[in-house]
Formats: sequence, C-alpha cells, structure tokens
Amino acid sequence: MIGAAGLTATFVGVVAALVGLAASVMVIRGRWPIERAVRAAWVSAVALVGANLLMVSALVGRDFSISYVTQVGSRATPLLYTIASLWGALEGSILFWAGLLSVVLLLLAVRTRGPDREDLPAALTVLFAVLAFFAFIVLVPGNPWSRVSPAPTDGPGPNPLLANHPLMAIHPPLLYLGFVGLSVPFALTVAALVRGRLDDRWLAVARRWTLIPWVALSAGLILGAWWSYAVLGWGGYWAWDPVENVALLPWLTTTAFLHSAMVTARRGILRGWNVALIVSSFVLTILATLITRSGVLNSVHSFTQSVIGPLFLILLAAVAVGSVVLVALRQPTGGSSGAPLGSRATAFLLNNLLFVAIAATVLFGTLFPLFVEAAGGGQVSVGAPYFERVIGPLALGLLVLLGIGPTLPWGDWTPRARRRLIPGGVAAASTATLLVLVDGRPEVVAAGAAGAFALVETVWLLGGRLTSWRRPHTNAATVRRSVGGLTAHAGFAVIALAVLGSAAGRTDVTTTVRPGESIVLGGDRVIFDRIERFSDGAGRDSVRAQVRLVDGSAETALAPALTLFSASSAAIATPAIVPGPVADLYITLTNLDPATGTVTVRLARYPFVSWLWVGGGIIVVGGLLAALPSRRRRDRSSEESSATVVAEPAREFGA
Amino acid sequence: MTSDPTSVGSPAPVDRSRRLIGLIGGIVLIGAILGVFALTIARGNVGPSARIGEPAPAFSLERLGGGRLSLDQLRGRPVVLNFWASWCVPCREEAPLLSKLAADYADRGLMVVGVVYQDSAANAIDFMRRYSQTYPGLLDLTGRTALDYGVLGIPETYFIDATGVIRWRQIGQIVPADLQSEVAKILP
Repeated sequence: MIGAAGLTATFVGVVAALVGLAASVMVIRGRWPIERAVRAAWVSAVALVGANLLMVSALVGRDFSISYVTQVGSRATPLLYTIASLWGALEGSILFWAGLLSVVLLLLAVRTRGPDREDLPAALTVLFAVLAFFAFIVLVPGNPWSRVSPAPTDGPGPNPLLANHPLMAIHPPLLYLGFVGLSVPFALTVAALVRGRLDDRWLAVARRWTLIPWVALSAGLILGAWWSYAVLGWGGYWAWDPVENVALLPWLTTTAFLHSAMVTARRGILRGWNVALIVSSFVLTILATLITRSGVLNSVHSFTQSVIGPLFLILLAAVAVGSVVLVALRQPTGGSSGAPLGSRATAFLLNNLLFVAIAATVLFGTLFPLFVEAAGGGQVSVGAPYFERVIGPLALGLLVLLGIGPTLPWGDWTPRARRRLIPGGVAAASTATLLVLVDGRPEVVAAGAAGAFALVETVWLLGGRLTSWRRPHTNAATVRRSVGGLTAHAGFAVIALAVLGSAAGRTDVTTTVRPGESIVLGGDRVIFDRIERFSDGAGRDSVRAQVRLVDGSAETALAPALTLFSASSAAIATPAIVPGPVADLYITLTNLDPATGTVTVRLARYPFVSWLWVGGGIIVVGGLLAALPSRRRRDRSSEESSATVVAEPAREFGA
Repeated sequence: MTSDPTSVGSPAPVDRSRRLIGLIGGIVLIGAILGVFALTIARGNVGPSARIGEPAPAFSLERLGGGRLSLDQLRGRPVVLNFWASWCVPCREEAPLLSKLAADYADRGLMVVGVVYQDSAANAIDFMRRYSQTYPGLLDLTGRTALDYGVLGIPETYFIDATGVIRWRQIGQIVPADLQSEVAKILP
C-alpha cells in the first residue's frame, strides 16, 4: 500500500519536474507567466517530500514488503536510526537528495522577488532539469519501492557502524543539504551567463544562496570528523579517506568563492573566476555523489554493475562540458580595474590561489588510485603523508593570510593598517619562543606561531568591530556580516591550533594487563578490573573491558570495548573518551586473550581535540550571522531597497 | 546602465570567433593529453611491465628491530619485495597473506622483505604487531629505495629471482589468486 503510494508520489515528482522544465523554458520565451513554473515547483516539492515521508513511515512501520525496507530495516533498530536509514543506503539517499532539491528549488522560486526575478526562469530551468534527473533515478534504476513477496518478517538493519552514534543521524543530512544547496548558485550563474550579464546583483544573490550550504557543509564535515573520532576508535578524526576528501572538495572551492566574491564586489575584477568556482563547486558535489554512491571505491570494476554510477558520470560530463562551453562563449571581457599590491584584494587573491591548490591536491590524491586501478594496476593507497606534506605548508599560508587579510585596507597599505598587525605579531613571537623551548620542531613552531597570530589578530579585529556595532551611521547589516566573517575566521584559527596540538602533543602507551593491574601514562592511571560480554540482540556483540580511571581519590568507571558487528568481519574498537579542555583521554581495547584473561589496552592523550568541535561551532555561528537575511530584505515592499543593494553591492559583503 | 562593463549581451563578432578558437584549442589540448595518457597505458610504459627483466636496484637499509639488510645479502635467494606503510589500507590485507607466503615457501629459500614507505618506525612496528607481520621490515626513511624501484603507489610488490632480476611487478594490492603463478616466476 505504502509502496504503491510512494511510487505514485515519485512519479508525480518526475512529471512535475519535467512540466516545470518545460514551463520555465516557456517563461524564458515569453509565452507563459512565471507563476506556472512556480506552481510546478510546488507540486514537485509536495510530491517528493511526500515520497520521503512515505518512506520514513514505511521504515518506522517496518513494512517489509518494500524492497528498501528489507534492505536497511530491522525490528531491533531504535527509532532514531530507523529514520536515519532513509539516507543510509544508495536508493534512499537519492530519494532524500531529490526531496531536498525539490524543497530548495521551491524556496528559490518563492523567495526570489523584485528585480532578482529576471534570472529566475533560466535558473529554474537548470534546477528542474537536475531534479528531473534525480527523481528519474529514484523512479526507474534506483527504485526503492519495488514489492517484495512474500515479505520477510525482519531485515538486516542499517550498517551497524552508522547506527552507532547519534551524530550519524545529523551528519549526512547536513552534507546533503550543502551539496544540494550548491546547485542554486550554480543555476543562478548559468542563468546569468545565458543572459550575458554577470552583474553585481547576480554576485550578491549567488553569494547569499551559497552561505547556507557552506554552513551546512562546514557543520557536516566537522560532525563527520567527530563521528570518526568517537566511533571508529583509531584515535584520529580525519584519515584523508576518499569519502571525506570528496566532501571537503566543494567546501574548499565554495570557501574560495565567498572570498573572491568580496573582491569582485569591491573592485569589479574576477567575475569569470567566480563563475569558475561556482561551477566547480557544483561539479564537485556531483563527483562526491558519484564517488560515494557508485561503488567505485570498492573497485573500479564494480562501477558498471549498477546503471546509477554511469548515469552520474554522464551527468558529471554533461555539466562540466556544458559549463565550459557556456563560460567560453559568454564570460565577460574587460571591466577589470586591478587592485594595489598590499591591499586586501591581494590577500584574497593569494587566499584563492591556496584554496584552489589545496583542492587540486586533494582531487589528485583521491582520483589517482582510481586511475591506477583503471589502467590495470591493483588497489593502491595514497595516504596521509602525501596530503599532509603537500597541504601542510599551503594551509599554513592560509592561516597567516587569515590573520593579515582583514587588517588590510581595500586601497593602499597605510601605517594604520600596519599598526593593526602588532597584537598578532606579539602573540606569534611569544608563541614561537614558547614552542622553541617546549618542542623545537620547526614545523610545530611555525604552525603554532601562525595559529596564534591568526587567532589574536581575528579576536582583536572582532573586538573593534563589535564596539562599532552601536555607533550611529553604521549599517547594522554590514557590521553583522563582517562580524560573521571574522567569527568564522576565529573558529578556523581555533581548529588550526587544535589540529596542531592534537598532532604534535599526543602521547600514548599500549600495555597488556591482567585484572587488577594498571596502565599509566604521565599522570593518568587506569586500572583494569574485568571483561564483560554484551549483546544487544541487534547483531552487535561486544567485549567490554571494565576499567577505572584514577584521579587522586576520585574514580571514574569506563568501558572501552571491542565490538563485533554480525554484518562485517572486523572488530571495531569502541573507545572510551574522557574529554577535557586541555586534553582528551582516549582509551581503546585493542586485543584480548581469553586463555590468559589478559587485555591489551591503549591509553592515549590527545591535546586540544575538544577545541575542534568548539571551533566548528564557532564557524557555524559566524556563517549563520553572515547568512541571515537582513531586516530590509524581509520587508515585503523590497523593490526600492533592492535598488539600494545594486547601488551599493559592497554592503552585501560586509566591510 | 549606460556603459556596463560586465554586460556581454552582444559581443563583437571578432571577440566571439577568438573565443571559439580558444575553446576549440582547449578541447584539442585536453584531447591530446588524454590520448597520450591512453597510448602510454596501451603500450605498457606504465604498469607492471616497466621494470620486468631489469636487475633489481641495490639497497642497504636499516631493519626494524635492529641491524641492516641489503639486497646483496639475499643474492642466490628468490625475494618478494613489498613496499608498505601503516597508513595504507590494502596493506592490512596483504600482511597476513605475505606472512603465510613466507612460511609456505621458506623451505625453497623464498625471502619476503617489507620496505616501509613514508612512515615512522613507531607506526610501522605498531602495524607489524597488529597485523601479525612476521617477515623483516626495512626502513626507507629517505625514500631513496622507493625512487630507485619507481614505486608508483603502495602497496607495490616486486618479485626478484635468485640472480637479482625483477620477474614480476604488482602495482597495487596483491591478487591472492595470482600469487602462486607470480611466485613460480622466481622460484629456482
């Protein structure tokens, strides 16, 4: 019953997307009013959101007559993970993607007002085409609704690694929201290119629609790192795994765009470059879907086993080639006014260069193993040393620029601007001195000094900006965006320092102990008591080591575990983590010997890891501050105020 | 809206033809690069055959756990030389496979040797313990040996016969089903 309803809703979604596509084209040709395309957007959104809700109800109701439910559902799975399994496997994730895209499309259709509407029909054409593509995949090759008869009484449940931590329930939807959201600036840019007018209004609107996806991507990436740290038990948070890398790529190009857009708004240069960044970001989101969803990572040769992978490859090729041709034919010429060396524009240009270099490095390292395998080799590994060695120095440069950039004026470098660098310089010098005494490794000293410089400089500027908020004659929205940007910078600097601290200052010890014996690391002592076996009845068996962390007279009971999932052969070390502001204590059970009753326990101290999550939170707050629509914009009668925005594009971007 | 420099509504004809030339030139250039890439692969200049039949480059490296080991010391014995690292995921599956290979063919003089690529000694020792790797591991801290062999990406495995000639090169993870026939190439 639900299956038939879901299939019907999906079918209506596909038809509405195709009708919307045709309607948008008719609007462009001046035959139809825009309202018809907007109506199609409403129908597709209601149908596809409805299809998603039907799938959720099928999952929650354990309707095992539906193929997707038999694939990821199980009676033992708790409610939260049952809902989250909507996007836990291929077919469901594409259904979810299509639903999100239909909502984003509708938002663009109804929220675009006034003169901005000029580009709406062409943008809707692009989005309806992408939506039709995704909805079609749900309808035919990736149909999750097909009927299973006779229906089984129970299913295997979602991938147990993903049903292990609440973070997994919010991390993927945030990434998807980021990916899907980036199709809006892409569509707006194609529209502006087709119309041949890459003006300041296009830039302001594209930037506004980029900020929310950027915040979602940032939050999704940080939560993914957190999940990796808290669940996988290897002690790290970022492994340069292809799945992580392809999610990082659009974030890098989008971050570059948010900066280059400011240069364009101020100085009129880099319009074509902005187009390239927006188009690349969208292409990279499709690449991410292709890489994570086609099975290409298991083996290049499993790629053609499903038709979905090749379909995404065709979409990728079509978007990439189409965009290149469109840009080549339509990119603006002239109009560059240049910028003085030593102005903020120079810092932003360097920033863009570094972001794009990092993105190219990550892209190469991620795709290289696929090329080797396709060319007849076996599976090779491009590991952390490659990424760290190439990206380390580039990231260091970014960190320094992050501190310097906002202090620079848009015009010539002035003595006043130079004086602004004093607090950061003092912080960098004292941190460097301290680190030379404590650690001495040149890369640690350099990174620590750069991080301290960036953080102090940003906080200093932030303080100045906050005091100017209430001053008369300042545009509140401009100050808010500027504060948002600086806040995000502060979060980034905090993350950089946390990464450095956790990498450079980590200590660990691995010991095999009998019951009653203790493991000691520095001032921390852990006593091993006994082994406990535990089964949750949902295909998850674990062996827990009951240990006590002794801190003076206080004792904390902890239970690092080895978890065996029935679905996979490898045991996963589930860590016990004692978070702290200075360092996390990270306890993993790495082995146990039933014959002798001994366990092997790894006790590690990771300095500042908690600050990664704090830094991520700061970035999200900053991004939201910058992304919030201004009060003027919420005003329904916005014709006049929009004209103001066109006249003063720089306002849209903060000072 | 008198003179908007960003407007490209009606570019001059000369401008458009120049763009088309640029576009076609770009597509031809990318096509040429891809063509060369495809030809190189098709002719086997990249891939297993590149080093086969050549003498194995000499090395003398520090051994994990103490001492040194050089290729000269192994002359007269068939050698399976495996480049690996603790950060390499496929290497985790190879380690038990190669340990078993070393045990199975020990009576025929086969020597399995691991060379640690771009990694620290501590990480390597931890990996050897965790994945029960029993054969000797050598530290290639400068990366010189990997360069001499032309390692493309790890894992990578060279099958060297008793006279010191490379008889097979496996780029990427070993295929268990092919291992017997590859070892047969170097056994006396």
